[in-house]
Amino acid sequence: MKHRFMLPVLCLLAILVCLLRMLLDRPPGGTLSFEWPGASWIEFRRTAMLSAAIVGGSLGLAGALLQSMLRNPLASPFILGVSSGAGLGLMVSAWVSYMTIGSAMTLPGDGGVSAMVGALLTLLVVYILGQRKGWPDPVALVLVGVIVSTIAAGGMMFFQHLVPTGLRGAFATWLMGTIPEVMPSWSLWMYGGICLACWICCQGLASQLDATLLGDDEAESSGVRLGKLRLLLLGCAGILTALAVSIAGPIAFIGLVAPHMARLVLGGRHALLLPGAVLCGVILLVGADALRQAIDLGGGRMPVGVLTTICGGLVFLVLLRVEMRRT
Amino acid sequence: MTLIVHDVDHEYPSSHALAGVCAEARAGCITSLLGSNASGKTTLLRIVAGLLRPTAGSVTWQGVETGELPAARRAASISFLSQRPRQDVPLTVRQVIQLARVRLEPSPSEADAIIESLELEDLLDRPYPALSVGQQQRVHVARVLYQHQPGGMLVLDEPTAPMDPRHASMTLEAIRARASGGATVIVSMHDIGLASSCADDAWLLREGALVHAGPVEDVLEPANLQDAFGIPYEWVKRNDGSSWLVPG
Repeated sequence: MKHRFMLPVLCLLAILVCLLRMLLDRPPGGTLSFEWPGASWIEFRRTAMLSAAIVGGSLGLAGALLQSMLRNPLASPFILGVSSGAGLGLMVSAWVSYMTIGSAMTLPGDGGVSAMVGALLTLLVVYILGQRKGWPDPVALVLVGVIVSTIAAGGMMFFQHLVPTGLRGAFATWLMGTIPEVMPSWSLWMYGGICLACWICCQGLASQLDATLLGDDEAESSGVRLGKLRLLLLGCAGILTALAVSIAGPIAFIGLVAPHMARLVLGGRHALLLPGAVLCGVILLVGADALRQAIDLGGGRMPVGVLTTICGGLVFLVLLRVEMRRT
Repeated sequence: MTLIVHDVDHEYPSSHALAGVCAEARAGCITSLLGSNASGKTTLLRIVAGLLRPTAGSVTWQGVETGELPAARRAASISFLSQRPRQDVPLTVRQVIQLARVRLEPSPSEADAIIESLELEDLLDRPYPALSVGQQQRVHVARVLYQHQPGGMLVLDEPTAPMDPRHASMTLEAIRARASGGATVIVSMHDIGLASSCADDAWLLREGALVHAGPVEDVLEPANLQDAFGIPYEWVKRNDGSSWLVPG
């Protein structure tokens, strides 16, 4: 029961972090400022804050869904090969564009659609190879996901080799993960709407997700249609991950750490865990994006993915030690 | 309301688990399923509960194949306790028990009565993984009893295996109460003495074949048991005048 009171605390934290991101900024080449943005800057900061919130929330939720579905605490949204698939989609479209019209697109801004297509196609391949009698098989999905991810990463390098050198640098930046500051508002609404729809859909199945914790036979005998539930979870997690990668590139650790953080604070029941994972994802990614504004080591603003990889890994180790001590 | 197992075969990729099993289980009775390790007990129970499709044959209950029951109706009709429930469930004892009614109408008063009958009151808010294996098993028995609806079927795979004698006896009393209320109960166990004292009927499996089925006193003959388990059994008289089957 006490866990329930922690959800408003997480809500409040998420709001504070979003406010912090609105106040904190350091434009490229500029100095750090801590003030409410003026008319010329507010659009950039709001876009950055909202896109980071959508990406963080999506990755947190996708991670929670996959950890439950695969019964694997190390499952992250990228275990299904979606990020490598998105990268491959991006590189293929860059190469096709280069071969046909002689100039390649600028990454990552206008590569969102090709990244999304690559991610969804990869998800489809993983599902086809990881299903048994039409329903996703948790063990097969992990194995197939890892292998498909490796193959897609190989393909990515292959096409990277074929495109001009300048584009390789842009692609390397995309691989580090970047929160966009410019996005059409309709696409923000669309991405936010998809994320919200996936969350509402899964939230309605929270008690059935709880039943899956007991084991396959226990869940099925309680009336859970396990195959259909897994298919739905796979679809939602895949779409959320593809969406996040197409906005910001492959941002590591958020999808792995956010569900663990939420579980530690809110317990294992999915009715609280799912919104908790969304909020923790928002807190972590918007917080990291705010933090990177303050860090200047001479190379310009650090890509947010670098920060989440380093800090996320450390946070994960701390959570692991806390959990080990608790149990 | 009789459960009819008709000519059930089941094959796994590397073994033949069941061959031509035919049997019936009566409502209001406890049918105990006996056999040595790997004789096909768990496979048969999963098929009876509708969780596994037999390679051939059928299991019908109330005129419907158990494997064909829609998920919500199966939850209301058949409550299943597996042999090895997971031990790393990140929930409290109360939350685990409540999962019985994921697709059914919750009834806090029924839950409280079951919790009391199995002496789980003091464990309710404890994390489930922190319990001993025997306590965890009692929690699952409570969950399955809470899922059970009047006139339904209970399929239990070694429910008392990790329990101490007092809690095993308490659990069997709760199961007997459900049978007396009209439930069809099929329960696998290894303790022949316990089976002979608590069951009405028995099915004896050997290497996937049903070698004996019928009233418990007919099936649990020392000769049948020696045939099934490969060791001699004998009846011993207890001080209270009752008889108990023990390995000879």
